[in-house]
Order: sequence, then structure tokens, then C-alpha cells
Amino acid sequence: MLLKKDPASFRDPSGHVYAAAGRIFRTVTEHHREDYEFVRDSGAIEELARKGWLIEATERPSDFPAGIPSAAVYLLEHPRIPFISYPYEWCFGMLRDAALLHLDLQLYLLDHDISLSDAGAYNLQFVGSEPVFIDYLSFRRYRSGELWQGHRQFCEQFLNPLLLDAYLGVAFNSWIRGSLTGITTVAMNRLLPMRRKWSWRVLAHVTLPARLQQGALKDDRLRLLGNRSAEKLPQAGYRGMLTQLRDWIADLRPKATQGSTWGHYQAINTYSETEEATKRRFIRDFVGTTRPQQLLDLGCNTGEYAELALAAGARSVIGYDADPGALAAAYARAKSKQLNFLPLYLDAANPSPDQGWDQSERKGFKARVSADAVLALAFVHHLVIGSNLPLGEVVSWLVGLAPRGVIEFVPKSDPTVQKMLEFREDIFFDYDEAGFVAALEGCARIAERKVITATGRCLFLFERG
Amino acid sequence: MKFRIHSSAGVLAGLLLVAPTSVFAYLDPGAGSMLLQMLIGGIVAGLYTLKLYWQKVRGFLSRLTGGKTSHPTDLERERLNREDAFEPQRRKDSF
Repeated sequence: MLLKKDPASFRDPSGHVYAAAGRIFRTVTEHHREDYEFVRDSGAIEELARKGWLIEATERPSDFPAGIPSAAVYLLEHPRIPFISYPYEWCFGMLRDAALLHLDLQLYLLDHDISLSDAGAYNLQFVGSEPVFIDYLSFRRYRSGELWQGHRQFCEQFLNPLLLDAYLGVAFNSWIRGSLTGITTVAMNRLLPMRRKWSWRVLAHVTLPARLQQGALKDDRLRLLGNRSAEKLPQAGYRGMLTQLRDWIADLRPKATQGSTWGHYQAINTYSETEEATKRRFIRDFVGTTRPQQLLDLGCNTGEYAELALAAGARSVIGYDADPGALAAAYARAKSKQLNFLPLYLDAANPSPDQGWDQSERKGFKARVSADAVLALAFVHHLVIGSNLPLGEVVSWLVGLAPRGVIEFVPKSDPTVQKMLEFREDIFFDYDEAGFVAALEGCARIAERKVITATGRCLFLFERG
Repeated sequence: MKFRIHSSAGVLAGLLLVAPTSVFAYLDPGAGSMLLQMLIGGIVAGLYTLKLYWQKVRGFLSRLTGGKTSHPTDLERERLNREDAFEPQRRKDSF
């Protein structure tokens, strides 16, 4: 069994995550032994795992596999998360639900005298549409009067990104993709308009910490930090901060979804009822025959076809879209129907890159996907005409994503494409069905072709050679 | 508790007036949050305690009048009730 240390697991000396032959292990070092034993023996974590708030863990007996460092005193095995996603790929509702879970978890654990040493959003993952906490090494024994160590991180990685959208109508994704530590409280304080600053919550979690941060070195107030006896937060104060943030965040809603382009797509699309039925039948047959373990749905919109694919036999669907409104609807669908569908924010023309420490802390999107089928419905024209990407390159990129899939080709005669070309010069000389077919035949076999609309939209089923 | 709330509120008002706006990038980025907690921890604790008492009083009154009893600390139930991404349950007892 070849062990590989997870490149994102290096910050905490309490232990590390390793992957081997598809299994996931976590070490606990001597440094963390006491806290780990206290938390394990409290019984709280089994209860949290049972509720689904926390990923399960099984303690492995002392005969550790070769390659586990000798500093390890315990070895845990976790079930594998089917797909690792990052907060900058989540829509507003997902980040908000992850934040609420984090706070609920902390409140629950405080009852058992356990606190969390940090509050990073990367410590949560989504399994289908459900958030789950994954970092066992964050838990430690609560010491009476201790400060909430993770407060700043919680604000930077959860609260401030959510406020950016809820109060200013700006999606947080690009910002937190650029800054993996989140949005600083000082920046948030500068951005918020004056009228927002009259609330006690904004004062307590944005304005005041920002001012204190800016002024801390200026005078003697910093000495407070060195004086351990001053470092005291009553437990009711700790709980008060957590419940205050919980109440606040539960009420936040994205400001920008109203103006979203595709949120109402299903209501305004250009298909007739019978055309829609033909398209659905084609997808159902394809998925029913291939039964993919992981289906990639590019431009997933509100998740209508992801839901159809899951009903037809797909085990899981990873979808992405660059429209926040469509994603909000897709996430609401996945959540209310408990679908094994993960809708992510991603622009195909600029997907998540390898980044962070040594450019390997957070993996690029491509490295995380192992799809056995792909759907690209009404998608290619957005890349070719919307983003000026060459048709041939788009087609070969698509075929490279999975061994088989369905691609919808939307010709220039279709009203959607006509609208895209309305105010710009048509420089897309090779964009027609013949050009598309030539490109697809250059890298795959066309197993089936079906015209689905009177305007000439076509579905192509491809299989890689 | 009363004294603590008053003294913390005084310090808070004073700090807001004098806190300078220069940025020291090399300062531990958690300093603001730590100072904040030392400063307003007492106020937040006071408010939280009041809130708990208020919920108890409200629960008692609603039992007297035959209304539904609430379990504000039952976070699990509340979380399970948050059904869709757009309409989280609104809790009226936020402060």
C-alpha cells in the first residue's frame, strides 16, 4: 500500500491526512494525544457522526501500514469523500449552510467541553448536497475562559463572503478563489456602507474587530494579548457570539439572484413540449444504458437534467455553471429532493486552478474529476460564441473529460444563438453542424445523432475510441 | 454582571473614538478578534444570559396560556427544518 500525504494537510502539527489505494487515513501525533483522547472518550463525536454532521472515523489498531511516520500515536480511517470541492466553488446557499453547520457543531461540542482550534471553511465538504465536517484534529478540550480562537477565520472565510453578497450584491467566489484565507475584516469594513454599520452585529463582528486590528500595534492595547490573565471570555460570551452569528447568517440571502440570467431558464427556454420530451428521452436512454458512477453535467443550470440522470441510473452527478441564480435553484433542488448532485460555481473558460502552497494545496478542477460520462447540453455555443473559443478545441476538450457523453449542438439558426450574435459581428465561420461533426469525428466515434428541435438543435452521443 | 456590562460598554465607546485607521500588515491578523473578545465578551455574555431567561419566561407564559412550547436550544431540529436554500427558518429571538 503506497501512502501519499495529502498536499493540503501540512498546517497542523497535530496530525496529517494520507491516501493509500483509495483509502483515507489520518494520523494523530503525540502533540495532540491528550486532546484527542478527551474528545474520543466524550462520546460526542460518535453522536455527531451519527447525525451526519461529522465524517465517520474508525480507529485502526496499532499495526500501522508502512510509511506512517513514527510520531503517529493513533491512526484513523475515514470514508472517502466522493468529490472534493472548495468554498470558492460553492453558491451562496452552500457556503451559508456550511457556516451554520460549523456554528451548530461548535455549540453542540461546547456542551461537552470541547472547542475548535480553527474555523476554516475548507474543513467542510459536501457529500451530495449535504455539508459535513471533516477535520477531527480541530477538536480539543475546552478550557474555562478561553477565547474563540477561530473567530477571525470564521469571519474571513464565512461571514464576510456571505455579507459581500447579501449586503453588496457581489458574488464572493472570485475573491475567495484569489485569496484562500478569505475576505479580511478590514476590507469588509471599508466596503460596507455607513447605513449597515449601525447594527450591533456589524459592530461586533466587522467594524470593531477591524478598528481594533488596525489600531492594535499603536498603543498599549496589544499588551493585553501578552497578558494571559486578561485573556478571558465567559462561556456565556462564547455561546453568545456563536448564537448571534448563527441567527444572523440564517437570515442572510443573496442580493443578486433577482437579476440572474438563467435562473428562470426553464420558464423561458425555446423548446416546445414535444421537443423537450424528445431531449429527455434521449438523455434517459443514454444514462440508463451507461449507468455512470460519476456523471459530469457541464452548464448544469437548475439541475433539471442532473435530476433526470439520477432517476435514470446515474450514481452521482457533479454539475457546474457560472450563473449564481441557476446554481441557487440547482442547490435548492438537490437539497429538497436529497439528490446525489453537487452543483458548483465554475466557468468552463477559466476553471479552478492548482493553487495555494506549492501550487498543490488546492487542486484544479480537472485533477479532481474522474467522470465516466459527460453531458454538455446547450453548452458549446456559450464557449464558442460567448467566449470566442475555437470549436475544434472545445470539442476535443469535451471528449477528453469522459469516455462517453452527449453533446447538444445549437446551430446559428436557433433563436438563442441569433440573440448572442445580435450586437456583434459573426466571425464564427466554421460554426455549423458540418464543422462540429468533423471536429467530433476527429477525436471520437459518433454513436447516435438526433435532431430535437424545429430550429435544428441536435444531440450527439459520442464514444471515445 | 451589571458592572461588567457598563464598564465594557464604556471601554467600547472610548475605543471606537480613538481607534486609529493605520494598517500594520505584519501584526498577527488575529489580534483584532482577540482584543474584541476581551472587550465585548462580558456584554455578549450578559445579552446571551438575558436571552436564555427571556426564552424561559416566554416558554412558561405560553405553557400557561396553552400555546406551543418552544425548544430554542434544539439546534438539531432547527437544522433539519431548514428545508430549502432560499427560506431558512427565521428565528425571532435573535438579539
